[in-house]
Amino acid sequence: MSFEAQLNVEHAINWLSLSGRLDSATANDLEQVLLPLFAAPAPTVLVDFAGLGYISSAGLRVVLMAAKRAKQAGGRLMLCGLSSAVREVFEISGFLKILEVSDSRAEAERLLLA
Amino acid sequence: MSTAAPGAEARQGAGSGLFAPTVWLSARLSFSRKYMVIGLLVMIALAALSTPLLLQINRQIETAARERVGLGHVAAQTDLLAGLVRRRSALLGNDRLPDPAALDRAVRQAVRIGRADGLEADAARLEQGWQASQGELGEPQVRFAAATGAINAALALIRDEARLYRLNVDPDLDAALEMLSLRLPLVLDIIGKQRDALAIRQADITSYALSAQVALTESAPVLRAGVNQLVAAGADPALGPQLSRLLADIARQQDSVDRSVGAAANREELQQIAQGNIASAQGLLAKAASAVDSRLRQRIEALSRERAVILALILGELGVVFYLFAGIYISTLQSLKRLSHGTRAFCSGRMDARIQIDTHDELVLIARNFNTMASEVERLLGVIQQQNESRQAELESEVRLRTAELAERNRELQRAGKRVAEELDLARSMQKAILPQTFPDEAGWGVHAAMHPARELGGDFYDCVPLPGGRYGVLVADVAGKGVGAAFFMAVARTVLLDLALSGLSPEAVLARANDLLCERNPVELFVTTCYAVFDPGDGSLVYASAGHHPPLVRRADGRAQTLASANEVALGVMPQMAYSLARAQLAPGEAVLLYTDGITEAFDAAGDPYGDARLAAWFERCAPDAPAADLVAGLVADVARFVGGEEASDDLTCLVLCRKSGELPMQDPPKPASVPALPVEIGDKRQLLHRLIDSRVEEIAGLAEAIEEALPDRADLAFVANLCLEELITNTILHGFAGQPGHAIEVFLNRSEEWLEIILKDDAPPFDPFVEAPAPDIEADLDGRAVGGLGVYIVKTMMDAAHAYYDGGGNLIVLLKALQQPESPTQ
Repeated sequence: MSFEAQLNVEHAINWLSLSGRLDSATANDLEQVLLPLFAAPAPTVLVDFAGLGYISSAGLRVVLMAAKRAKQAGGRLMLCGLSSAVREVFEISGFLKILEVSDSRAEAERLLLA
Repeated sequence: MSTAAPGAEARQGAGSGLFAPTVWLSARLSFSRKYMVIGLLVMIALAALSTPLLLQINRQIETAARERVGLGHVAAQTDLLAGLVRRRSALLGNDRLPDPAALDRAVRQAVRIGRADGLEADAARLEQGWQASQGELGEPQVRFAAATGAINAALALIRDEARLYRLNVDPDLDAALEMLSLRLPLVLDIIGKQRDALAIRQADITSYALSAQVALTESAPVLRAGVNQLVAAGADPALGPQLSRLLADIARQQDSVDRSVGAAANREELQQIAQGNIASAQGLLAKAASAVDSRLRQRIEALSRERAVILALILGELGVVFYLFAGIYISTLQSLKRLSHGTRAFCSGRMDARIQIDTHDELVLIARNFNTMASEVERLLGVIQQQNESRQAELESEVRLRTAELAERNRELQRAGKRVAEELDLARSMQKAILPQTFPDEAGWGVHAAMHPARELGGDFYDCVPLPGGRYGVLVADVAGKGVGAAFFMAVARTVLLDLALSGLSPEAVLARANDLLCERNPVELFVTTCYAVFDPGDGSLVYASAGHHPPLVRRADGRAQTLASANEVALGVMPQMAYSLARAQLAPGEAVLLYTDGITEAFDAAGDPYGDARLAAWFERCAPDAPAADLVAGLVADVARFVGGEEASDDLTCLVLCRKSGELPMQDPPKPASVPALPVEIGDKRQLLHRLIDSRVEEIAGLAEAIEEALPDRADLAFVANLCLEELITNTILHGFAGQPGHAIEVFLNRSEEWLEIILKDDAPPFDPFVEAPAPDIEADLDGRAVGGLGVYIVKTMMDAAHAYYDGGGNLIVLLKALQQPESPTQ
């Protein structure tokens, strides 16, 4: 189950859907896709973790960097669709406190378009 | 040491202002020159003082001498006068004519003397008067006048001579000399003239004769004063009476003149009286002249004596001054020389040098001060020397004391070292002694072993133990670390292992039980790797288990060396409740199995190269087939010894060989190829779910994750956690242990019991304990405060119930445990 990142732009929102394993070997792939999005002014990025079965600290690192870039760029980064296992990793790492995380894609959409 | 008061210095300063020139001069002169200058000044002063006196005396002497000359002239001229007077008388018939030739000579002489004295006029007058009184003169008046002219010329000459020689101003004899040079010649002339005038019998001349009385009378006090002066000056006192007689006779002559004026008969008497008076006056004159001359001579003599005395005094004075200065100079010089010698001697180091000056001048003060100073310096030097000596003595005694203490300490240390060495020797001997020294050498098989301890106490041991059913257990073990602790642990481990082996348990059970026992008794976290094999001589089968130890090496019948498969599990004493797997092998006849410790493979030569697995395998393959176990052991030890050369062994060297002798027993079933036993392997109450070797690349992780998911089909949550933790630790090892380099092996074990999931990770990286060395992230920080990275180890520690890292000398061993409670909610 290899890692994939699918990017769609709708309503000026970058929809990034992740699937597969986000580990030391694949974290770089995410970094290549995700970080350039924050080069634009005030970007809004939603990362959908629904298809992601695994994440390690290498993945967390990219997410943390993205969050810092978003803040610098005056944009917004939101995560959604975290599985319980992935969510536990985020929780252990203290990331739930510093990241905007919504339960489902629908809720995220609602929050972003509100 | 200041003795000069400030006032004295001030006075000295003022004095040097006033006396600056002489001080300046004195400062530039040596003592001899100073004294010479003073002497010269004294001489000059004496000369200056005495010169006028001497000059005056000289002048007086000259005056007296001149007066004597003058007196001589006057006397001669007075004689001439007397002659002329007598001649006048003779010319008038009153007297005998004196010798004309003698008179003429006397006149000439007087003229010559007069001319010589510069009295030209007087001389010429006398000469003319004398010429005029020569020849036939006719009338008595003419004769009288001619003779009187010569007499008057002589008188004038006498008067001028006396004036010329300053006879009348003589300080003592002026009166006498006036009497001699003026009065007496005049009296002489008058006496004669009076008589002669009366002889002419002319009235005017007669009156003259009478008037002469006045002149004679007037002369008396003058003559008396002259004679008195002479007598007072020491002349013959008879002069006084003689003058008195003359004066009386002159008085008689006057009486006679008075009488003869009227009567020619009385002229004879007058004649006689006058003649007598002339003679008497002449005699007086001669006597007085002689007396004056005598007085003058005496005066000259006295003055000469005086001058001589003065000169003698001056010379004497000079001599005395010179003598005095010479003495002062010599005395001062001697004192200065003594001072100089004394100070030089003192400066050249003769501390006892003193200056002896027994004079009473100021130099004594200097000498005394110097002596005081020298004594003080000598005393102080003595004190300093004494102090130095005592300090030296103190230091020496201190050094001796310390040296003795050090020697004692050294002896103690040597004794202690010796004792320790002896005890270590004893310990080594015991270590060796407790190992079996006799080995079975049966018909079909044989065992031999050797343990060569390193210099430091180590923890290798072997054992061979007969087991029930004819089986035979062999064991090689290596306690990690060195020293007394390792030795103790070795003894404990051996006892435990031997005990368990004797109980007949199978090897994996022996190891598991021993592990638990050792974990209970392991306060210093030592551990021991071991390989325990049980050989069954009946069928040549070999079952074995290994706890972190080198797998057994077999030399096959075809000469090939083969490493037996080994589960390579955790060393004993690391963690309790470990399970060990049992492996099997088969020894054919003629095959041998070698158990060894890393003292063999990690024996280093001088270049630092290890003996290594390859050399070991090569040696094993070189060995003669069917060589006895003892020969093989000896051969291996010798080969390693050859390899290391003279290098000191860093670790114990232990090996055990079990040989199955060929031809003794028929070949049985061919042995199953030794390999990793099929999984799952039961280890006590644990099941090994996974044993995988991956390369040090992150790309290997995905494959490992799939395998783990397959190994835990019922627990995706556990697989997730296991994968997460493994990934974190593996990436950690790759990054930090291998610097991102691929090509290193990382071994992963996954075991599961009823209660635990056990994850074991092995690598051969340098020692690294991620759980100690990794900094914990601050998970309470806000977004800006969060550091990127550093989360991996934290996640592992949080997710696992136990996480430990070990280093066993060859690599890192990480053991993770996760309790197997049921998932609270299904993941899917």
